[in-house]
Order: sequence, then C-alpha cells, then structure tokens
Amino acid sequence: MKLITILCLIFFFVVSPVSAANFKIVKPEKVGLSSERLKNMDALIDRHIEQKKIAGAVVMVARKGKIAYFRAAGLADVGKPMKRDTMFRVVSMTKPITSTAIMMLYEEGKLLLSDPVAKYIPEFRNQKVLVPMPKGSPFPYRLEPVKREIQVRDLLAHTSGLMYLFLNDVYPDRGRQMLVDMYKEAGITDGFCRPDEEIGDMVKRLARLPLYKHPGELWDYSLSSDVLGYLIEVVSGMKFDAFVEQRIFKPLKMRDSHFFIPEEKLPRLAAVWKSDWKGSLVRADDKPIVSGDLWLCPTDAHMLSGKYLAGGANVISTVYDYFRFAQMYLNGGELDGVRLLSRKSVELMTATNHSGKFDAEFLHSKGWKFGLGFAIQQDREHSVDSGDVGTYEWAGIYSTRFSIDPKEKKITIFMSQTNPFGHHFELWDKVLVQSASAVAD
Amino acid sequence: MNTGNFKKMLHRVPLFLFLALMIPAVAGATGPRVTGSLFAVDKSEIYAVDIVPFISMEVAGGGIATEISDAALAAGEIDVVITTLPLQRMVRYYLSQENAIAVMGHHFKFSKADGKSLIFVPVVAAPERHYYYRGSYPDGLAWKGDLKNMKGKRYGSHPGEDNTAYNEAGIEVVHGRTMSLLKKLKSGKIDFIGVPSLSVEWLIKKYMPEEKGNFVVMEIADYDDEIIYVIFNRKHADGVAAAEKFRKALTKMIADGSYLEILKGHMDEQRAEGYLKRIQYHQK
Repeated sequence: MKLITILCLIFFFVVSPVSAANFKIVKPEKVGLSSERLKNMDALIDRHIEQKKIAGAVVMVARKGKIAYFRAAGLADVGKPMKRDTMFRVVSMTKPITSTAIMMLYEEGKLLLSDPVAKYIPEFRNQKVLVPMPKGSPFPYRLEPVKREIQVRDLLAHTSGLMYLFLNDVYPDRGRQMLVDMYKEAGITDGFCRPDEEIGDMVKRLARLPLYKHPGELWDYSLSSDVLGYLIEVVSGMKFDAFVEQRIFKPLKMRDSHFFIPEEKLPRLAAVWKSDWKGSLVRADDKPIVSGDLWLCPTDAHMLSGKYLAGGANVISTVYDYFRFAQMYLNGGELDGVRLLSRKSVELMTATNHSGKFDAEFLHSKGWKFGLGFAIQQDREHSVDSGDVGTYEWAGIYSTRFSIDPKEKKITIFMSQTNPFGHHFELWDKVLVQSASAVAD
Repeated sequence: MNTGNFKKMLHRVPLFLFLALMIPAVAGATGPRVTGSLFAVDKSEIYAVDIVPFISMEVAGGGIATEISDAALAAGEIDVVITTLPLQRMVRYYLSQENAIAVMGHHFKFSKADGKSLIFVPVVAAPERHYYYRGSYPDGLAWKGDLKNMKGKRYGSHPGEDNTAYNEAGIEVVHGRTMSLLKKLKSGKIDFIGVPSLSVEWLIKKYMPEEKGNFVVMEIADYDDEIIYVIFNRKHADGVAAAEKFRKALTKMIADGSYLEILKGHMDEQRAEGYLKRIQYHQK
C-alpha cells in the first residue's frame, strides 16, 4: 500500500506534467495543515467518483500562500484523465473577476460605486418596477417608477432589481414569470449560451425592461455582472475581454484563463457530464442542456471567437489560475509584487453590509451576506459553514467553487464539470468541511 | 430649563450617539447623492416600439421614423419626447394604463372600441417583402403570389400582426422579433417571413454579414407596406390638438422636401423617393 502511495505521489508531483503553470507544492504540515486529515478529502472525492456522481475533479487547498494539497482525480472526458491543468468553464466564478475590474476603475477615479448606472449607460434612465396586479384585474401589472436609480454598487451586490431567467424555476412567483416572459420576448438570455450579439446590445435592451424589485430592496442573483461587463467597456474604452486580459490575467500570470479558448488548449478542456446523483453519469452531447428556464450550452466553450462577453459567465480557467486570483485577494489585493487593488478596497468588497438586511441565500442559505462580488459568511449559527466568519466565496453552475478564509489564510478550490449543479451543494460544503478540518495549528 | 435637567440631558448625549451608530445601514437607505429627478423625464412621452432601423436607439437619430417624428414634433411645437421600448406590450401598457399622449409603432391590433379613441398618423411606409433561406430551399421557394401554395409551411410574423390570411391558407404562424425570425429562418424552424427589406438588410449587415445573400426575396407577386404610425390618444388632454399639429407639420415636411432629406440620410436616393411616394399615398 505504501508503495502504491509513493508511486502515486511520484506520478502526481514529478511525472504528471503541468504545461502552463510552474507551481510548488509544500508539505501540508509546513503551513499548519494535516496530511493525515487531508486524506479525508481524497476519500470524499474518490467516493463521489466511484458512485458515479461525478466523473472527476481537481481540488486545491492552499494556506499562507503555499499550495499544500492539489489533486486531480477521475476523468476529464471519456478516456481522458483529469489533470491539474485541466481547463474548466468556471461560469459564475467569472463574476468576481468582473467585480475586480470594476473596483480597479473605481480606484482609478473613473467611477463611484454610488454612481447611477444611467450616468454611463443612458438606457437605464427612468426605469420602472413591475408590480403584479391581483388576478382578474383589467391589466395584469402596473409599472412603478424606481424609488432610486440602480447604482454601480447594486450591480456588484446583486441588489439591482435585475433578474436571471433560470431563477424563475427556483423562486417562482407571478411577477417573476411576467418578467421572464418579457425577457424572452426581448431576446434577453442568461448568457450561459453565447448569443450572437455584442454584450452592449443585450444590456441596452435589458435596461428598457421593467425591474423585478426596487434597487436596494432585494438581494436577487442576476444579470448584474453582465451589465458590469458592458459598463467596463463604456468607462474604460476597451473591450471587456481585452481589459480583463491585459489588466488582470496578464499581471497575475493567469496564463490559462480566457474568454475564448485558444485552439491549442481545446484538448485540455473538460467535458460536461450529466449526473442524476444516483449512479447514472453520462457525458453531455452537443445539444443545449435545457431545464425549465435554464439553458446551458457546454459546447459554446469550444468557440474560438465570438461577440458576446458575459461578465457573469464566460471565463474558462484552471484551478491553479483561479488560485492566483484568489491569493491576490487573500494578500489584500497584490500577488508577487503586482498590486491590482488596495487593501482598503478588498476590505470594502468583503464587508457584509452591502446587501443590507438581505441574506445571499441562493448558494448558502441564511447567515451569508453578499459583498461586492462574493458571498461572505457572517456568522456560524447557520447550516452552511465554511470554517470562519469572514470567509468569502462563489461558485459556477457546472460545479466549481472557491473559498477564501482570511482568518486562516486559506484558499480552497474545487472544480468539476457536472450538471445539474443542484446536487453539488452538499459536495461543495463537504469539501469545505474537509479543508477547514485539516487545519492543525 | 433648569441646570439640573440640562446636566441630565448632557449625560444622555453619548447614549443617543451610541444608539444612532447602532442603527444598521440597509441597502435601501443608500440613496444616491445624484437624485432621480436629474434623470427623470419631466415631459410627456410618446412610447415607441423598437423596430430597426425605423425606431431604434442603435440607429443615428433614433431611427428613420423617430427622426422624422422628432422633426415634426419640433416643427409643431409639441413638447414631448419619444421613448423607445423593446416590447410592444410595454408600449400598450403606457397607452391603456397611463394614458400616454401617443405611441409609435406597427401591428398594434387595437380593438374597434379602442380604435375610436385613437388618431392614426402614418409616418413611414416601408415595403414589406417575403424571404426564405437559401440553405433550406436551394431551388427556391415559389408561391406564385398565392398563399394557398404555402399550405403546411411555417411563417414568421411579428407579434400583433394580422395573420388571418396565413391562418386561412393553412400556414402555421410563429411569432418573434425580426432578428429572432431571421435566426429561425436560418435554422429551418420556419420557412418564410414577411418583413421590411430595410430591416432585413440592416440586421444582416450588423449581426450576420457572412449571411449576406442567403436570405432571398421571394418572387414579388403581392406585398403590403409596413406602416409605422404615431397614434395619438384622444383621452389625453392634449392628444387631439397634438395630433392635429403633428399631422400638419408632417404634411409640410413631405411637401417641402425635408422629409425626403431625412430619408436620404438612411438610404440611397432612389429608395428614398420610393418611400416618399408611399407615404404620400398613405396620407391620402
């Protein structure tokens, strides 16, 4: 058994090539983690693979700036093992990257978080909120002028009153249904399938539709980050992808992070698998995956170029690259001598009062607030616990999740490519339990 | 107030300050210093349905119909602004529920009762053509001008369009925005559409230039003009007077050449002349 372990270690740490990243892995004990306890992480992931709940995953635990656990297990595609440098559709883990870009422009004095979005995108002027009327009324709804304009901060904190179509299945109500119908008629999509238009075209149409709620009066996960992507174009004068690549990916040496994958990297892109969580695991075909109002197009990640740049969904990345992004945050805005944000801005982004009295319940349930780009654990009295108050994180719809624990100086990243994501809340939470319980100092 | 009471109050000041600081800041309390009034329109609004390139914020001047209407409104000294919305149902809402002075667009399909309270002023008459996709019908899609020859086919139509003739001919009708109809045509989900040529050309140029030439005009045997109206609301206090002033100003623009000049800014001269003749016909 020991021999097998040694051979495995040799394979993972020496033989297995990591083409794009030059990283070091330290013994967990060097950074106050327990090797023995991290075996629980191995067992957890292996069990899910054996039970055919997932095809494979890459998991990383880093502490005090050092990678202590970095394991690829299972399959990335049919006949293709998962590797540490496998590339993933991180989907909504694009949002913190978009938020970072906005905060950089904020620090440069290009905008204020309290600015009305209409100051930069005039189509957001004179917005109305759809208020459903009682059944049997002559008209099914009325439109109420907003009490105040959507501000940049609302977009970062998801308190804008905008919506995602797919949440109509999660939080059904009449008003949401009416708006979903309007979104569809106006050609608004969630951006998980890449529309054949510029992001600005979509945003301008979206701005003319009614809001679901008054800005600031609800936390509702939404297309807000997509609006931010376009806002970056308007404020910076650069295409959104160019801004992110030049100002974030390049300085942070995130060499495997892209809006459109380079052709030579296509073989490294993981396939998406459909799992019923009961042992039926099938590689998704080329057709869109449709469930109610949720539309996913896994093969859109194969596109080498295109028009649509979704600030909420489009990035393809690796665990190692995302670690570099997360470490920049954990370091208070800088990595390897490159500063993207000030410590004060990181503190502002991870403060828990941006969403007011509203909890960010969509992924975490009660006890989690939303900052300017992340969900943040506010207390330890509720069901989802990531190890510490102040831990901030987000996830992606093909089952990816990252978590940053500033108190323990610890980063945890899990990446898989499995649909539907609903089953994965439990697995993600367990990964974070394993990560937290490996702390041994 | 005696000195004792004043001293007691002074003692309580820190407590008041503490309590004030303890009030949590909620998102709803974070009003901008830039007030909404700076961004709100304080004039009457004409609500218009987005129809590229006739009514659209993507087109210079807000689109051909918007530019013409704006000029007529200015000439008639009618103090309103045109607000473009993406959906017809929103425009209808403002007319029926908020008593808007006017709306602008096409295919509203008002009931007879509603029609009595409305004044229709045609602003642009655009020739409508039927199109099919070359990839779906490499040998062409002939109809010889008779819808009966299209029985069993699927027709792409705008919401609100009168499709009685298509229904009677046994043609399935699918609704959508022009862009969505073009995509459906390309993917084979529908067989033909009927839309203004200018819209098709504009959308192909902007969104699918590689498809130029693949959307083919069907043989012209019969077609309608797509008329874009400004529809004034008699129920609005200023509706009737505004309609009268607008109509006069528009008639003058057509006569003095300024209408044609606006058209020329959006199309070649020959086509502009054709559009001018059409609006003159529909004005009668």
